[in-house]
Amino acid sequence: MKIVFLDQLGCYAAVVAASLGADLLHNGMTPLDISNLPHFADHKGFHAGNLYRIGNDKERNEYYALGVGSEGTAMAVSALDLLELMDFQWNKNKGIQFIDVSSFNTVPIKILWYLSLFKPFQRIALLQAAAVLKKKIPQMQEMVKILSGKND
Amino acid sequence: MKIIYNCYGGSHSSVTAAAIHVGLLPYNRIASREEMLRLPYYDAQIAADHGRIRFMGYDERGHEIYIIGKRNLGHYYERIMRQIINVAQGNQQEFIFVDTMPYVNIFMVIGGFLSRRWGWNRVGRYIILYGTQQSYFKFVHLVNLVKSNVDTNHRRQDCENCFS
Repeated sequence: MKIVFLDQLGCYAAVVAASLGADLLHNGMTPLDISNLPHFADHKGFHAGNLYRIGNDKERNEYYALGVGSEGTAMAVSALDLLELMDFQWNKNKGIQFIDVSSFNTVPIKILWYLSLFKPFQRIALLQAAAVLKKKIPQMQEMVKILSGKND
Repeated sequence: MKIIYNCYGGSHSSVTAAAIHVGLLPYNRIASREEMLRLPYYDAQIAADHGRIRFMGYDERGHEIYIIGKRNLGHYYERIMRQIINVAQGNQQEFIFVDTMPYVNIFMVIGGFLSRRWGWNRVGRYIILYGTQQSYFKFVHLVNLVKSNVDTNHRRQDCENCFS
């Protein structure tokens, strides 16, 4: 099963959610640990369409993060329609799930995106964004559990 | 091959271009208001329909023609869809994404906004139909470009098959 998390740039909430799914994150992690996640805040502009492979979990589910601009809901629908057009064969091992986590990127994080484009503020913006997302981890964990079927 | 025409709301420009492609609208004269209003999905999609890929018909070569409302994504829409095809390990050559937004004029923007966003169907439709007729031959030109591009791709593939 492949699970694709969608957010605006594909490298903030989506990376954190995918890392949670791939068991790269746990509750005791600091903002510094989060900021060191692969592909976290890995953007040089505001381009949508970047896909990052984050990792696998024990059940061999693959986790991805994809930037879809501010149209997460519409693109999740569109992605499923596209898979139907491709005659995608759904089964337990070969399925794809799209989960929109754009709402976890709150206004402070969006302000930090702009700040992170200026070199002197890059590090502080990165750590601040990680700190804001750290507070969202319990909610994300719950969501990942439910949507990826890990609560069975 | 599947050709997906995309615009902001999937209601006007993409529907017009797709209809010309499948032959629901004429390519040698400007379509009348009645002809356009009879089209499926024309000035009919709402915000909840954005992102849905809708089937419009088959063209003369048997290609499947679709429309979609991609909202503000612009050219990023194709990039996102291609990434999804990558994840699903699909065939990239099977899909063509055509952005109809460059051919949208100010009348279509204002009319579409009034009709779809504010629900002023009567006024909005009047303006949008006028705008669509103004840009009609641009859509015909776009469809011709798409068709010739598809044909060229097919010929190239045939040729590659010959040598393999």
